Amino acid sequence: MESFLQDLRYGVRMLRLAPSFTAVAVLTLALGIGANTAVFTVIDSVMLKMLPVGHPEQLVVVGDPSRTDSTSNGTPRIDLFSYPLYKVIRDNNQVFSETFASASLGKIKVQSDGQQNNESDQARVRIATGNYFSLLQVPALIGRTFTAEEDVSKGSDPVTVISYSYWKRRFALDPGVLGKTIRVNKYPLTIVGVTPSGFSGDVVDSAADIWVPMMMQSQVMTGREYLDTPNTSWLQIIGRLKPGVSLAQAKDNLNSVYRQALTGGYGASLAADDRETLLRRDKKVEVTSGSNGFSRLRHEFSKPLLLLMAVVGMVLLIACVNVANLLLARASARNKEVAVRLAIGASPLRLIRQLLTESVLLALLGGVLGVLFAQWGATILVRKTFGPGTLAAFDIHPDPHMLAFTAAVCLLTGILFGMAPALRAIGIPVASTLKDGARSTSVSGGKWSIGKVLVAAQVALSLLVLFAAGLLVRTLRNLKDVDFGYERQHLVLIRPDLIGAGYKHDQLPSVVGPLLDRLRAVPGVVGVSISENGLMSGTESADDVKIPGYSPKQDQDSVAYDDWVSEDYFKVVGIPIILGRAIGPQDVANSTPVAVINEAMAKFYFPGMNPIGRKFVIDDENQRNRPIEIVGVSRDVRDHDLREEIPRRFYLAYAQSMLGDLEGHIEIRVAGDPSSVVEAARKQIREFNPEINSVRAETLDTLVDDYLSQETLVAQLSSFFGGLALLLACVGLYGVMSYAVSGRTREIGLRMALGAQHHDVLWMVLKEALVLVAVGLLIGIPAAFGGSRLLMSMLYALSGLDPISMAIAISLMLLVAAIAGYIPARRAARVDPMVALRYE
Amino acid sequence: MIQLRNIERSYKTGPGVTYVLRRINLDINAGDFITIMGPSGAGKSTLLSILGMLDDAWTGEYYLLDHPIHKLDRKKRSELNRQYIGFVFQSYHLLDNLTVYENLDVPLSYRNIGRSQRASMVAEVLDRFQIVGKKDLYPSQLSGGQQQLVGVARAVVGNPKLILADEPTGNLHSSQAKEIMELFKRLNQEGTTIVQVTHSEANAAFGNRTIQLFDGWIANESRSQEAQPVGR
Repeated sequence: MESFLQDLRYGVRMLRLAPSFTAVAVLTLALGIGANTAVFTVIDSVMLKMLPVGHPEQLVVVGDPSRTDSTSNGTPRIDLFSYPLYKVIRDNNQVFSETFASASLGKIKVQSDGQQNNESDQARVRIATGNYFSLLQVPALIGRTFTAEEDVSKGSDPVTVISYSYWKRRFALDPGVLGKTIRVNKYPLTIVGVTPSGFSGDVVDSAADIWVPMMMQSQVMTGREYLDTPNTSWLQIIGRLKPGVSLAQAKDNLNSVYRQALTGGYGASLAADDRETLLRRDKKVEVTSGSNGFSRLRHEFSKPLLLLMAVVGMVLLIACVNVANLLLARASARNKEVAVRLAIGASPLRLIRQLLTESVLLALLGGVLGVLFAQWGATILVRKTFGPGTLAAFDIHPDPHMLAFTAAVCLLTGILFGMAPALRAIGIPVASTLKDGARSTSVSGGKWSIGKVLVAAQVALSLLVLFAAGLLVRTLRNLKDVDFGYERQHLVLIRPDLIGAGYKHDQLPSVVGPLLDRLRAVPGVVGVSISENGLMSGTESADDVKIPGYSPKQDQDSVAYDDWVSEDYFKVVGIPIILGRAIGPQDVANSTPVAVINEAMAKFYFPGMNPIGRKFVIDDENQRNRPIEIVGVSRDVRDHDLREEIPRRFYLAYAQSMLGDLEGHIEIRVAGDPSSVVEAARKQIREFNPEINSVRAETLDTLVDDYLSQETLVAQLSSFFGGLALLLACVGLYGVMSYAVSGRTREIGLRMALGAQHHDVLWMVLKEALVLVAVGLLIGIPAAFGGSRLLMSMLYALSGLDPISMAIAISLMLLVAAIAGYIPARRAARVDPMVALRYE
Repeated sequence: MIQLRNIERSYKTGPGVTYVLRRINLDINAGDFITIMGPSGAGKSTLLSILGMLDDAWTGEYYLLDHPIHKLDRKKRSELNRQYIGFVFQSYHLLDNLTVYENLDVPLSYRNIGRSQRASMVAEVLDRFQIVGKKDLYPSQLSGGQQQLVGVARAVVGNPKLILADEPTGNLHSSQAKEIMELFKRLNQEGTTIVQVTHSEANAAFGNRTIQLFDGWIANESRSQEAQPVGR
């Protein structure tokens, strides 16, 4: 220990004595370590961190933990749950000591006593069963949480619990907050408790502000009755395992509970076709660890984040190579010191330890600065990845996890870049080094010195990062250039929440017409239509269809996607009708039900036939006796997805809709800049009825950009880190070539004295740099092609062997090598033979 | 104390081999003060490096206090070096970034001696060499003679049985050289065996045996009884 402290003291002194070297090395390492720590911090926050609740390791998620903010109407699901199905699971399982259900109501208007209704009053509301807080073992900081009694009768307990951050934000930590009233969707609720600071709910990427008891569902979700319907799947479930029960046992038990329920009372409550479908599909209820709660982003971004981790890992390796090269160059100047230490009795191991202490110290300094960089980096990363408003949901402050990670990275990095110089140091010839005094052995002395080998490795690693970045950038470009089948630059999409505004379902047809007319009057608007699912909205519908004369070979063959669209839909969106006609004004509620099908559907069900005039039915209890006549075939278009093959789709007339809960997405085609129409359209809706909350009003381009946020993120960040890798490789190559040239000044002078021309010397040095790069490329090209296999699922319309991406990566590498090699080469070519020959 | 038998040292030069030392047979007794002399390239420093186990690439047999050095690996040789040998160099080779005190402390720390014991050993040497006042200075703040004094102090701080000195006064002026040589004589009289390499007849006169090397061979060996005054 004592000798270690001595090494440490000496290390500090050595670094202090070489401030330029220390600064460059620390900065290089800080960039590498900082990038790694930043990405790790986000990964930790999104993927690894446990919920701040009692014994999170006992928690289990039933269903899909990523389906936050989702609601599905139709055949009951088991990745999300209806309230009746939740009750079945809660009451019949033998594996959980308690089970709760919760759902997000999204960001909605909340008014508190004495406040005006304005935009800043939006809060994230979560609805939860009465045992939510007791199961999570989260007591109230002040007041109380929900009680079991509040889970019994509908609408009888208008209470709410608020989060610490909401208490701080909205009530300035006023201890008299208990008993105050807040209005959630205009419904008054009394605040009975505040949760402790640090607890923001069971969804890790969406901090809840307010919790409402499940029994208040219809009061806070105006116009929607979800507690009794088995067809609305909207709840997420967490259970706390009984002692000694494993995850596998829990899964077996829940699946048997579900199967029994399907054939029992729960099944009997379902429509016959739904029950049949569920029994036929025989899907399994998924059960996974719930220790880190629900998260959509974890599912969506885990792959990009892990990819990013690999990329920054490589950048750190490249940074390590640079510092190793710096240390090697410096080690030459320290040969004498090392030789003396060996001569006076230092054992090789002790010397390695001393040199590694110095390099680890350097890495730790880089780590300290890196943690600062990481704080900025993680903040930018979260903002960029998940949107500006999401920062509050993530805990990205330095914590033991992050510090332990950084310390481990520093230790590893220090050993990694310190090992080569340390091993080289103990191998020096002591006698001749002492005899020659301080004259150093050049780091690039041999034809293939360690320094050069390291630079070649650096080139290979950089090529790997650059190639990956190239593939991801080209994927993004391919996706952005996808032909939608219609002109998408001048479209605006709006989703007005009509039910939330208080309209009843039977009122909708009489509301929609005037609302669309009002929007048609907005200057710049060319046409307006309404459809159930809109474009790129994240909402989709699919149904089983029965086509006379067609027998499906497998279940999936009966499925087609569908949408309810108004009469101008095809014209407004710009979808060409290639056969027959579009949905028109003649298709009204009591006329023959009609549909336009897309090419994919026509080819699949009616190969080589004219589908116009043919009929099919939706395989649903309510619609089996309602044949739909095909009146047109539309071109296949991209409306909800860019990557997958365009699915079979049919469009039904909005005016003939039989759905009870049909809300709409409004499509607006504009003549000029669509963004200018967005605000005007919002204003029109507000004027039409101030209670209508426009859930979303965006241009289609914005929606496409949102859809591509994951691809954009990985493309931008991998390009950034590719650039960083390139820069580091450039510095590394420059350093080694400069050092090599300075060690050969005499030789160069002699060559020039013997008649070598300026360009001969220039080429001699440049050639050496290019040979290094060529060797790096020879290693890097197959490695990059091999590594690209890991990216295959993220690529679009691109092979993992994409020659263009590789050509770009190689060209960039060669360009950088030429620059990095040219400067020392030019310096060499300017050597004055007379001065050089007097050198040494 | 030391027996060298048929020691040879060569370098590969292209297809051939150049010998630096040829068939060296030499016995060094405890308490000897041996001077190795000869023209440049005769192999003096190489012989000293072999004795100090800083050079591994030789053939022959080398016994140090009955340890067969030729049979030992680098680690064992390093241990014996630490245990028995102190080095003094022509260019002093002090560690530039350490103070005088730390320069004396370093070899002891390599011997895994405890902190307090090291402190007393260093204090004793500082006192003995009368450099207590310089203990916090860096080598660059000392004159050549003072640096070599520290160099010798560093060599003896671990109480070695053998001191190997490679032209220890080569960079010093005559009065400083004389002081250093007298110091060696005193150490020798106190029982330390010394082997020095020098070009100086006057320095050689401080020893009791002189070995003449020529082209790697021992050309001559002479013994003297009395020390002579020093000069350069």
